[in-house]
Parts: sequence; structure tokens; C-alpha cells
Amino acid sequence: MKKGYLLTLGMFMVLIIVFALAISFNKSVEISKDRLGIIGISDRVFDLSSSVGNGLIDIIKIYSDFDIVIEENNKINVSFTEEISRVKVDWGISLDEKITEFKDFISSQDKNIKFTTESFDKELPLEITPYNITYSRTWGTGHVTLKVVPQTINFDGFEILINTSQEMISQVNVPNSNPGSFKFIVKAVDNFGTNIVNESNIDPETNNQVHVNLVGGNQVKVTVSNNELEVWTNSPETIITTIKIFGLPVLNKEVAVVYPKIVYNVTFPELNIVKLADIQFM
Amino acid sequence: MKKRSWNLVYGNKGFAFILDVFLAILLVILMLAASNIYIFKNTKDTSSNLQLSKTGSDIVTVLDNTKELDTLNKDSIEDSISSLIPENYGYRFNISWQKSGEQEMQSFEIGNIVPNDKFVATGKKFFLVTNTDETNITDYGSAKYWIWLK
Repeated sequence: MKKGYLLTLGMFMVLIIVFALAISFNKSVEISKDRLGIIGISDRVFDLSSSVGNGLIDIIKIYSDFDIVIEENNKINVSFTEEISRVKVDWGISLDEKITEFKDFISSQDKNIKFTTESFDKELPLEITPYNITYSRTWGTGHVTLKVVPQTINFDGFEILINTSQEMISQVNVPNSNPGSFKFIVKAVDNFGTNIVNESNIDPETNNQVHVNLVGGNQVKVTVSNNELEVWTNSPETIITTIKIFGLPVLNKEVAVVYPKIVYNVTFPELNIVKLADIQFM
Repeated sequence: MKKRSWNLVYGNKGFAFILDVFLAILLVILMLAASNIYIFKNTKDTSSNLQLSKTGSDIVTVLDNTKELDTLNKDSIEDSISSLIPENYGYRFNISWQKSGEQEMQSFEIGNIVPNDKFVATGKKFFLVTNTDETNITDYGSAKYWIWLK
């Protein structure tokens, strides 16, 4: 009699376990379905967002005469190359027009994408993440200045290439130099065979200058002071400058150059999804 | 003297036993059926839906990276899609574009009518059309896709 009870109880327990497992299986399938759905929606949002970002980057690359290179080995080098002159209106004439056209096209095609910034700022800045280094330019009366401002000096040095093309270089001189362990390399070239390299180890907190004098009196002044780099020129002709920030440490985060002023968001209110995005050169 | 319900050799014990077995089997069947319903209700594989979506996205990316979209040519793009898409997939693509400096929108569609009785993955990507030396943007475009299992 007792055996019968135990057998019935045992069978009942087995059934309960089977039933519980079935419910648990059902729940986990529901959860994985939900997750697959979320992944699918995320992919769709990412596709939309990255295609808009890539479009904007292409427009900037084509119409701004601007090039960014990120080299990653055991250390990181980031370089900015651009053609620039003291005449602000010469720079990126079609850029704003093309960005506006692209934005209008997107708005007409997709109500889920909204831009929160109207136009591209010629004076930038760009930010190198995750290093908190900003790259900007400012036009003053009769001159233009490129500026690199790092939060901390955690890299090996600056390498600056000044290509004056059709403007002949008359002389390169070093009015100020204070020795230290930070590398400061300035290369000056023109189309007439000049190729001068000035390399020194400096203290970036003090004033260090290299002047590239041009025939006719104009100048390109390269200054490292207060841990900041400035490239100043009053040349009306286009000068190609490459500023390389080299020897950055490898960190856990991916290196990107971000233009933070154009921000757009991809929103699907019915799904409660909002993705904020900015322009990232990777 | 106690009266028996049935005039059987072993009394009513067998009847009670069979009824007990029957109830036990019924209970087992009910429990197994319920478990079965729970297990098989959700066993339809939905990962293929995600795969559909990714296929659509990948095809548009390939068309963009190979500059096929830049042709804005219906036949050429259709040929490329046919060569890229698996045979058991149905599809529809809408390519819309606007010339730089103009307001007029142009578009064409490729593929079959989108079914409404099965899962259809959909997505969209924007692209730019450049001239051959990539120094000028001539058109702004968008590619929308619908993909399903045949």
C-alpha cells in the first residue's frame, strides 16, 4: 500500500517537473524572440543612422579638402591634412550647400530622422576621442590659425608638414626653442625643391617656434606653447598642412575623430527608440 | 450481510483499480498535452527573420560599396540583386534619388509584390552618387528593401 502511494507521488512529481520545464522553456523562447526583435530593430536603426553619417562624412571629405588618417599600431597616430588659406570664403564653398541638400533629401524621405544642427561650422572643432584633443581653425583679419589643444600631453609629439606649393620658401628659422622630451618636427617643402626638416625635443609648456618665411614676406608660424600647437599663416595662397599627433597610447576605447556640432537623431516613437548620432571619422 | 454491487469473484476491487488507472492515465495525458502545447507553441524558429533583415542590409551595402547604386540603372541593379540574393528569398527594392540642385524625385522598383501573409524584413539606407573621379556629388539616394522567405 505504501509503495503505491510513493509510486503515485513519484509519478506526480515527474509530471510537475515536466510541466515546469515546459513553462520555463516557453518563457525562455519568448525572451529570446523579444531579444531577436530588439536586435533586428537596432540593426535597422544602426543602418539608417550610419548611412546618414557616412553620407555626411563623404560630403565633408569631398568638399572640404580635408583628410583625416588614424594609424593604429602599438601606438596611435592621428593626422589632419587640409588645404587652407587666409581667405575664409575660399574654404569649403560648396560644403554647406551640399550638406543642406542632403539633409533636405533625408527629411523628405524619412520622418524618423531629425537634424538638430543647421549648418557646418568652418571653424570646427573636431575632437579626437577618447583622448580629449580638439582640432580647430580660426580666421582673423588677414590670417588663419589651426590649433590643436590636448587636455594632457600623453603622446610623443607633433609632426607638422607645411607644403607651400607655388609659394617659394625663402628661409626657415627657429626664434624660440626650450629643450625637453617632447618631439617637435616641422617639415617645410615647396614646388621649387625646398625640403627642410627641423626636428627638436622641446618642453611643450614653454614657448617654442619655427617660422617658415615665404618669398614676398608672408609667413607660416608653427608654435608649441602651453601644451598647445598653433599653425598660423597670412598666406593668401593655398597651403597644404598636415598635422600629425603621434605616439598616443592605445586605450580600451576605439579611436575616432568626432565633429560634435552636427547632431541628428533617429527616432521610432512607437517603439520607444531614440538614437542620437554625430559625425565620426573612424 | 453486506450486499455487493457486482456479483464478481474478487468483489469490486478490480473496478476501482481500473478507474484509478484510467484517472491516472488521463492525468498523465493532460499534463503531457499541456507541456507539449507550451513547448511546441514557440518552437517556430524566428532567427531566420533576423537573417532576412541582415541579408537585405548586406545587399544594399554591397551595391553601395561596388558603386552599383551609382549607376541608377534599373536593369543593372536588378541583375546585381539577383546574383546576390539566395533563391529561396523573395524581394522588392525601391531606389529613390534626387539630383543635386534639383527638387524632382525619381524612383524605380525592382522585384515582386510584398506578401501580407508572412514575415517581411524591411530596412532603408541612404547613399550618395558621385562622379567617376569622386570629386563631385551628383545625386542623393535612398534604397529601401523588403525581403521574405518564399
